[in-house]
Parts: sequence; C-alpha cells; structure tokens
Amino acid sequence: MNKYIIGLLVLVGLASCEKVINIDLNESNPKTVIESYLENDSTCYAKLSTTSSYYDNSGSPAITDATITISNQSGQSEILTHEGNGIYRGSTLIGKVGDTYTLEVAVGGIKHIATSTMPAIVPIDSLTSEETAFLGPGNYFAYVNYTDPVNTANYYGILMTYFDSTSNSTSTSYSINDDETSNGISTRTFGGFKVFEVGDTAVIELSSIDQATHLYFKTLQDAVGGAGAQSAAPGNPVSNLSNGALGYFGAWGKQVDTLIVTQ
Amino acid sequence: MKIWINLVLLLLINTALAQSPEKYTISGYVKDQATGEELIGATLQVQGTSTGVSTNIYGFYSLTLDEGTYILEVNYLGYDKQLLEVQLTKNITQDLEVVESGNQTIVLEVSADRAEETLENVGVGTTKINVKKLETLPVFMGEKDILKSIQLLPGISAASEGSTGLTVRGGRPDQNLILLDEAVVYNPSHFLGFFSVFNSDALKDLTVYKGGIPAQYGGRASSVLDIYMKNGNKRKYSLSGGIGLISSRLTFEGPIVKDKGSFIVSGRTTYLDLILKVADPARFGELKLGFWDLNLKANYQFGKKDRVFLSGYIGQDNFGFGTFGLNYGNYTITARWNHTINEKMFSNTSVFFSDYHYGYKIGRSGNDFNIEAGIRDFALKQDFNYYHNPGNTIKAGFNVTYHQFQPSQLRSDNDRITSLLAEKKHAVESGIYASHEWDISDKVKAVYGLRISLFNQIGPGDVYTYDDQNRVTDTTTYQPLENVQTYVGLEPRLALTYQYKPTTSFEFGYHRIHQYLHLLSNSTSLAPSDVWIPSSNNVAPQIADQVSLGVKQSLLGDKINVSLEGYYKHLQNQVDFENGADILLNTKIESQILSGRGWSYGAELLVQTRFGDFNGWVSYTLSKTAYQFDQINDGKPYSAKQDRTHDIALVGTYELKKRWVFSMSWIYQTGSAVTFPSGKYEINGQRVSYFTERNGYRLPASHRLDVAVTFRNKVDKKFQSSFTVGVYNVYNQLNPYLIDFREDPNDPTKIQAVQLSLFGIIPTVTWNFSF
Repeated sequence: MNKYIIGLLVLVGLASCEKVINIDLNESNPKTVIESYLENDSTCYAKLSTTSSYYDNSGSPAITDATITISNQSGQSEILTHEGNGIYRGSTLIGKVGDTYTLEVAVGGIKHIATSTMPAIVPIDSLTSEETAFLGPGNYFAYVNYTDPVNTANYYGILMTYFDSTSNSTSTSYSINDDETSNGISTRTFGGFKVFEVGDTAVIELSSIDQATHLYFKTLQDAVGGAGAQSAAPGNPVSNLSNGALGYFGAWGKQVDTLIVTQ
Repeated sequence: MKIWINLVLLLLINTALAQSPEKYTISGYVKDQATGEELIGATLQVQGTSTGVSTNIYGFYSLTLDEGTYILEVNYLGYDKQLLEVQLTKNITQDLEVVESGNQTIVLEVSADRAEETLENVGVGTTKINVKKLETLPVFMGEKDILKSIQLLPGISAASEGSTGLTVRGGRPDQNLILLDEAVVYNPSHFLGFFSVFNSDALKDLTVYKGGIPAQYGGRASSVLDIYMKNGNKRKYSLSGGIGLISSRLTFEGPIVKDKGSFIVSGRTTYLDLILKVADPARFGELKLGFWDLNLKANYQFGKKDRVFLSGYIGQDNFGFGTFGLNYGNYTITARWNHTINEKMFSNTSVFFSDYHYGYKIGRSGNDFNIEAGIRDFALKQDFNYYHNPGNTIKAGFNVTYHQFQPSQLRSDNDRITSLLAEKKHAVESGIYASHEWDISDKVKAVYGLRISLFNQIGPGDVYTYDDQNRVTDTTTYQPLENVQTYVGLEPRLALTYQYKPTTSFEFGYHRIHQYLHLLSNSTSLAPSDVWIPSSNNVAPQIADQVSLGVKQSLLGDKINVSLEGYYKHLQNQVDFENGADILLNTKIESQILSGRGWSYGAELLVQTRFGDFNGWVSYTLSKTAYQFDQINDGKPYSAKQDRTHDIALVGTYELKKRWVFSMSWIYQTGSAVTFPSGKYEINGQRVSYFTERNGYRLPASHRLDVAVTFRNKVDKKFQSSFTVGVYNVYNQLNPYLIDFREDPNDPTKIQAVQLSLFGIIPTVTWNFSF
C-alpha cells in the first residue's frame, strides 16, 4: 500500500523527497546461509555463506569447510564436493521426479537438515510475447503458457533470463506462482516484469516446486533488497532447514524453452 | 447479572424513598437561538448549587426538583451563559435557547473546562469538541478535518504522517468506534488516508472517549468517536460553502416547516484530476483521482412528544490509471425516533444500515478482473434515559446488529484467470446495558454500569477447523441462521469524580470492552484494502481492560486549566499473522492468524490557557505500548508500531478585532517502532535482510509547525465571507515516512539508508462563505 501512496503522490507532484541519513544498525553474530537445490536429471547444488554487516555490500563470506550429504528415500547418498567460494556440487545422485531427498549440512558442529520431494514436471505449452498497450508501441511482455494439472495443488518457479539484443546485456528475474486462481486450466503468466523489444531473447525455466520452497520464496519477498523496511511486519523467510539456518533446500522438476520476440 | 439486579433494586429503593416533599420536573430541549439546532451536552444547573443535568445526544434535558423558585444557569461550550428563573409548582415543558458567544476562539473542552461547574463532570478521559470552532486552526491542504484536529489532543496521534488513521492510547486504528449519527463508519478515510470522510460543514458535535467509556458504547477496544450531524436550520434557509485547494463544499439547510422540522444537504468534491488533465493531457489523460461525499439529514417533530430523524452519508473514492482502478466508499443510513414518554423519561429508537466496500479493477472491460470485499451492517438500537432526580439518572437499552462480511474475492471476465469467489460470513452482535449516573454527595459523583455483549457467528457457510500445520481437519456446513460460535462478554464500566475543592478534582475510570471484529491490515496505516473479519471458532474476541486516574486543577480564576491523567490498558487476543500470510483472496486466512497480548500505559498532560483573545493548549503524552506473541520475536515482548514515547502538541489562536484570527500548531513525536535488518546475506544473487528483532528500531522523530490566518468580512453583514491562508510545515522539516536501504550509487560496496519524506512546505488558500 505504501508503494501506491507514494506512487500516487509523486505522480501528482504533491510530495516526496529523499535524503540519505545515518541509522545505526546492530551487528548480529554470523548465521549460516544455505541455498541448495536438486533439479531433475541433474546433481545437487549448494552454496554456503554467512550473514555479514548490513552496510557492507562487498559480498557474503563463504563457508568452505562444511560437510554436505544428499540422500534419497531408498538410502542412496553422496557427499558433495567443495568447488571453491562456498559452492558445493554432487556428482552421482541424479534428481528424479517423485523422489524424496534429504539434505544434511554439518557446519561448525551443528547439523542442518531439510527434505524435499520433487513434484512432477508441468510442461510449457508455449512461450509468447504480446505488445503492451499502455507502455506504447514496440514494448512487449514475455509470457509462459502451461496447463495446470487439475487434481493437485501446484506451485511454480519461473526463472527468466533476458538477453537485450541492442546492448548485448543479460539479466534474470525469478518469480513464483500457484494455481489458486488457475486450477486445472490453461494458464498464461508473466515471465517477469521486464519489457522486451523486437529481437530480444528470453530463456524461461518453468519449475514445479514443492509447497515449502514456494513458501520460502513467497516470504523472501518481504526481506529482499530494501523491501524489509517498507513492509509492515518484515521477518525472515520461512525456511525448511532445521537448527536456525537461513535459506532453503528444494527439489524441483523444470522445463526450459527459448523465445525470440518478433512482431 | 447480579449487578443488573442491584441496579434495578436501587432504582426501586430510590423511587420508594423519594416521596416527600412535592417534586416537579422541568424538561425540554436546549437549542441554538439563531438556528434552532439542538445542543448536545449543554448543562443546566441550579445557581449556587452543584445540582444540575446535561442534555442528552438529542438535546433533551429533564430536571426534577422540590417545589419552589429557582434560577437555572444554562451553559454550552462556545455559547453565552443563560439565566432562567423558574417557578416550579407543576411539571413544566420548556425549550431553552442560548446565543453563540462572540468569542470565536474557544475550540475544545476537555470534560472539565466550561466553567467551574464542569470540573464536576464525571467524564474521565472524555473530550468534547466544538466542530464549528475548528475552522481557524491550521490544517493539512486547507481541508478542515476533525480526525486531524483531535490528533492535537493528548493520547491521540496519527498512525502515520498525514493519516486519518488514529491511534488512541496505544490502540490500533481499528480499535476506534467511529459513529456518525450512531451508524458505524468502517473506513473513515478518503484519498488513501490523507483526508477523513467527515465533512465538517455538516457536523454538529464530536465527543471522544478514551477512558472510562460509558456502558452505552461497545465493540471497540480503544476509544469512541461519537459524531453527530447537524439537524439543519429550523428558522431560515441558508447556503454556505467553500473553495479550497483540494475540494469544494456546498451546504444548503433550512426549515421544512418552521420550528417543526428541518433539513440539511452538504456535499463535497475534489477536482485535482480534472486540473491535472487540463494541465498535461498527455500524461494525466487516463488519471482518475479523487473523492466526493454527501451528507443528508431531515427531521420533523410530530406533536410535542415525537420526533423523527432520517440521515445518511454516501462517499466514494475513485483512483485509476490506465487499466488499473481502485474504488472504495461508505454508505450509512440512520432512521431515529425520539419519544418523550413522560417528563422524566426519554426514549430513542434507531435503525441503521452501514456499508463499506472496495474493489480493484485490473484490465480493460470485457477482459478484466476485479478484487472486491466489504462489510455491511443492519442494526436496531433502543435507548431509554430516565431522569429520576438531579442526582440520579438511569440510561439503559439494547442493540442488535447483523453483520455481513464479504471476504476478498476475485471476479474475472478473463478466461485465463478463474474467478475465486468467497462466500459471505455472517454474525450477530448484540448488547444490553444499564448505567446509573449518581451524585453520591456534593463532592462525589459516579457513573457506573454494565454492558453485556453477545456475539454469534452464524451460518450459512462452511466453517473450518485447523491443525497446527494450518491444514483443514474438519469442514462443517451450517444452514442459514444456524449458530456456529457464541461469545459472551461482561463489561463493567465505572467513572468516579471526587470534587476535592472547587478548583481541584480527582477522577477514576475503569472499563472492560470486548471487540468482536478485527481489521486485517498489512500496511503501516489504514488502507482501503484492509479486511474486516468477525470473531469465529478460530479467532477469539479482543478484550481490553483499562484503568485511568486523573487530576484536574484550574488556576488563575479558570484562565489556566491543567489536566493530568494516567492510564494502564491490558489487551487480550490481539491479532497478527504468520509470515507470508495473504490478506487478499485467502479464504483460510483464519488459520494464519496469531493471537497475542498487548499493553499500554502512559501519562497525559493538558494545559489550556485563555487570556483575553488568546486561547491555546499544550498537550504532552508519555507512553509505552508493547505486544507479546509466542510466535513473533521469539516470544519476547516488542514495541508496537504505534508506540510513541513522546508526543507533544502546542496550539494557539489569537483573535484581533473579531475579524482576524491567527493560529498555529506545532507537533513533536517520537518515530514509530520499525524493524530494520541487523545483517544481510545473498539468495539467488539478491541482497536479503537478516532480521533479529521485531520493531527494534525507531524512525527519527518528527516535528512540524503549521500556521494559518483567517480574515472575515464585517461580522454583522448578512453575507459572511472569510479567507484562510495557511502554511503546512512552515520550516519544511523533512519528516520520515519510511526508510529504504539501497546500494550507494557512488560506492557499490556500501549500502546506505535513504529516508523518504512525504510533505514539505505547502501553502494553501481557502475561501468560505455563508448567507
């Protein structure tokens, strides 16, 4: 709501003025941050870091000495290898739709555990682009079209990579969706709030994520960037990891497609 | 129940004891001489004694005295004192008329202030405000606004800058019972909260209760704002209005039949979007931005004993840009019947209807979708006032309200979005009360009473039960009117005044109130999309207990009045939600509601002065408000968002030769409690805040000076006109609205805190007229 109010006031030129001010923020003890996922037909990925001082934007300190084990419900498991900069990868255990995976991360004598079951892949029917009337001619939004399965609650992650053909630059956006307003029907959803021009390319990954991963990314929105200060009651995202670790572990099934925007 | 029986017994005993000598009653209405408008809370007192009564909300009084000759003194805020000699040898019906005082600068009265006799007023924590006299105070954008002006009183502040959302003694904006001619107004804001829905031109009287709330009110945990519309001029037709920066107003009032009935129509509309469209059609061509409202009221007197009132309010806000639209508004309709049963007993029967609704519309018609929600009330209310003798008045009555809630739902014409309709929820809220105003002695007065409130969640509809994981464990389908859940509240009320000396009094107040409706909000101030929900099998009613203790002292022959009040409030079953809960389009929001407790305590100082043509007050509040929820902040108590340690207001008006009025107000407030990060990390390459504590930080304090000058034409002219020139935020203080953390543009390895301020210095001009 705050955003509407400010947008409105700025629009009519009545208000708003910004200045940089000093606010003393407390320093917290470093906490373990785990970002880990297992995709279909792929091995497990994990990135470990710790929290750091808020005003310092020079990157998060990596955790390089953790022991990370991924296992499935039939007892197969492997220990992930540290590749440097806190990034760990598996090599033998391949993600499979329907399997349940357990991630165990041991850092400094504390074990953080999470489980996730990989939901079935929902295929992309098509990627389309459409000129947006209110942004004027030549501006397009990219859409991903898929058919939501009827009998299950479905949650989606949409990762869009955008290639700007004029400036040759790349950017990504991640958004989530659920089937509350589109259960069992053909669904068209934004690839992201990004404006395309003719000739630009979008690579879109549509992932079926589980409920815990969806909840994590949903609650993450309140804490991303400066957003935390604007929300009425900001809090840390809801993690499926035990023992107070920040972050998530998710197993998901994804499909990738590419779109070149044409007239 | 026991207290109720005692009350009835007491009434019988009093009646039995009151046999000799012969007693007679004088009763009638107190009115404004010029307009015939009935006056609320005017006092009648036998000169030289403390014996007296005040008029009720319809202006009715009844005073029973021994046979004899008396001089009655009639007083009303902002009016000249009127003396009346009465020979009481039989029952008399007599309407009394008072003349508005030439002194235009008396603005408010905090229960104890009218003259020495009002120090005996039992209204602990009660403030009566003369709406008409607010005109000269400096106001935001030149729009006089009662909800803004009362923020200058101790214990009352804005939920956020420029907002009409009020926090009263640490309460949330939804804990204020806002009544317009007895109908509940669910969203008192226009323009996303910057203006209130109350058009001051149509209003007569406002009383704010923040402590010792009387038994006739119930349903909100923090305060009562009891607002009455004018009845309309009974003697002549009159047209008044004004043109301002934001809106223009027009009011027409007059007699239906002279001295029998009258009407008033008052409207207000904005035109900012039209101006912007003309100024820059390319940019603002598709902009819709504004509000309008209309107050209507008519009354008619049938015979000597019966009077009927019909009043209504309609208001609507429209905001749109391109394919996005937001509309919201309130309706209220009240029909009342006043009946004087006999000279000692007065009855009022009201039926009313209240509706608040909002809707977002996204997309072009034919391919659009709407998100909408609302609440609707149908209510019946019956009140009796019995004036036994000057020392004993009984008020009793009951009310029944049928609430209909429309949870937010989505209606879609777009084939790629399925409609998500939410079934309506239903509830019946009732109350029965009795209250006794009792002058125990010359020095001690008491108002005590009991309200029994009853809340029934009823069908039709599906009712869910949830487990710890918020999963539905049971669904029960209820038939229409079938009872789902019942809550009963016993709500004792007490206000005591001890008149230690003519210039000094002590006051004590206690109340317990159950609040059965909750406003779910995810913004820092009132927003149109906030959703009202009923108490249910999953959500318990809020319960507030409050004690207040006050002392009032008048100095220098009433030139200075000092009031100091302390309070402690305890709140049960406060509402918050789990992380990530959606308020919109969530039929299972109840599963994500958290229940906790809250408390607030504070001291409020008000010093009013009146020296000749200068009039003003200083208000200072020192307070603390905190919450404790097991699931928030690791179960540790935390400061409420609306917690304001210090809150200061300085207000002054000076009148020069009856034609110039200079006024100023200055406020200072501790910043709101906010949650800031204490660390950060990265997910998906994005910066994520790490929070260690809820509301552990403060926004910087805000302060602001506003001034205004009003110039009137000659007072005795038939056509009255005045110009008000005001300046908001004179020294252009950049007060914090919110703080954003961003990458430093000059050094990407650093983050900086950026403060956003809403309003700098704003000059305004308003022209008002009447004839």
